[in-house]
Amino acid sequence: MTVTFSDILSASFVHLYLSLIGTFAGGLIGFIVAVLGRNHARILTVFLTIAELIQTFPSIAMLALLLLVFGLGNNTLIVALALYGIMPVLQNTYEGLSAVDPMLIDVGRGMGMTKRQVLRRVELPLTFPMILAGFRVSLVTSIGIATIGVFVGSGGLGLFIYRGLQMLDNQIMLEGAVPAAILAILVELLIGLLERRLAKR
Amino acid sequence: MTVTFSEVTKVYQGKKPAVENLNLEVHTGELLVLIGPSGCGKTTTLRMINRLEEPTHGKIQIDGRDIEKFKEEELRRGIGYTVQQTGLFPHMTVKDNIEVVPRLLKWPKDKRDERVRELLAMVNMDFEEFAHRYPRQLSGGQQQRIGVLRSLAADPPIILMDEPFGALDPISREVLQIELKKLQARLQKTIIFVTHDIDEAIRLGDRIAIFQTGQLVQLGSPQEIVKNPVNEFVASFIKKNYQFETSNLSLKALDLASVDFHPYESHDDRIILSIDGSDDFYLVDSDHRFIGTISKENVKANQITADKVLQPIRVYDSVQNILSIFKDVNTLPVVDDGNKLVGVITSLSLMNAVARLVGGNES
Ligand SMILES: Nc1ncnc2c1ncn2[C@@H]1O[C@H](COP(=O)(O)OP(=O)(O)O)[C@@H](O)[C@H]1O
Ligand SMILES: [Mg+2]
Repeated sequence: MTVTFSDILSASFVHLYLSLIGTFAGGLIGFIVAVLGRNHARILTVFLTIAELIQTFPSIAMLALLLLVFGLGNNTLIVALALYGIMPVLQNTYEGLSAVDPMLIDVGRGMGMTKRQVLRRVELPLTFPMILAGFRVSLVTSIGIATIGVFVGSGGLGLFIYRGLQMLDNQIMLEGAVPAAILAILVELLIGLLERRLAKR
Repeated sequence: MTVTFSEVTKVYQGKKPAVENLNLEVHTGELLVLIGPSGCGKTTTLRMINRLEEPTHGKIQIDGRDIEKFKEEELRRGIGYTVQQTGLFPHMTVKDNIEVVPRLLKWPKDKRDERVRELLAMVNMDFEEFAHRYPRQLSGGQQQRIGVLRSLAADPPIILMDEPFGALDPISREVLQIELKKLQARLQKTIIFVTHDIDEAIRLGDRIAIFQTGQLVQLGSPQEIVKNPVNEFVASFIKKNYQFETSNLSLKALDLASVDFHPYESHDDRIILSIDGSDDFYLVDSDHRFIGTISKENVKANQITADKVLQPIRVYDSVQNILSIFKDVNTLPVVDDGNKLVGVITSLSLMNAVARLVGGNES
């Protein structure tokens, strides 16, 4: 059996797509929790603890557990990635918001912004680079975890790796592993570049 | 617009009152300076006007209307606000920063653009060069200028400034003071300006309110305050900067002088001042040290060198001494021990001094 270049390309797209959806969903949850909870330290600590706990869960075990609920296919992988994706964004958003100079918030209020306008026009834009950094970390992790999605029947590059290992065929194995590594590196570089752009201002 | 404090007290939890029983009326179009040592309640007083702090007791009115009756945000959008650390938003360009309040007020884009151009032009900053820069790409003086422009953006009748020039080097500070004075002459806003620098207060203020531990201890024109401090505290506060004895009854040079300088223009590290009753201009350095006088013609011709080096006299020179010199000249600059220009004796100021002696009070 041979793998064509277009097979690799389409598997890479599926891989990235699944990682993005999962990470994005998790990031969104983390972001919302951080924004809503920023003035309620106790509630936020509860959420942070849960998110941290999830983080320590081995990915294979997580997939197996979720399999019971979501069955075979992409959904199980996406949910797992989402769960892992909560914590980096939650933590970074919260830390970023806490680091905004209170003087700027005060000045925003003093000029007649409502609390919500201060959040939208001052706090969030200032926190954005940190939120993006959290998203980058979690997307890179997701690309890695997504390679074992093959065990719960999801698409992506994991299939080649799994097949290669089973057939003791290094070439097929590498045809999955190398693109996955390249994806992770690309994401790291591109988002990192964007962050540095933003930080320059 | 007038701002009136009636029996206003502010107590922060578990502390001595930050402001105690304040009665004060700020007149329309005046620049009122609040001054006093750190912690005396200046910032609190200012922040009660735009309701960033609520008084514990008493009320504040704007044009007779209790500020509690306004919606918080609407009140604030009608009051300009500038702080010492510039308060510029680092993620916004100069233009975006200036446009904050106009945007909140939903001005259309054309009107906002035009306003930003107009404001930058007021301080001779080129729109193309500066509008799209971020605050960190500006010098401290430029940042603070943008902070001031931002508070003017929506053309509010009242502006609050909390030590806006406090963090600047002396040269930038004096340049901005001059600009503010010019803007104010043109715009006639009601400005409440906090500082702890008595020089700045005297230079800028139409009136000065001196605070001590939450209490207003003296309110008056710069001249009144310099010449008739109500108590030891005020006297020592002024004396730190003007090294002369005010309580001494025999007349000294400064008692005859006008101290009401108007910054006219600045050139590099030199500043040109004018003063009522004198056609000449006075050139000082960034520390306010006297360099010389310049005729009106030379100032107009941009000839910024002292053309007459009048020998200044000292603040404590006696009247006899002064009158003997004054026969031959129209004006006499007065300097302190540090050679700082603190006043000018003119025919007008002499007449005022005589009128005060005869009438027993200020003109
Ligand atoms: N938010 C606050 N909470 C508690 N105390 C405050 C607060 N703001 C100011 N104070 C206190 O009120 C007093 C007056 O402060 P402030 O108005 O800032 O003085 P100034 O501007 O003249 O230095 C000080 O004793 C200060 O510690
Ligand atoms: Mg203060």
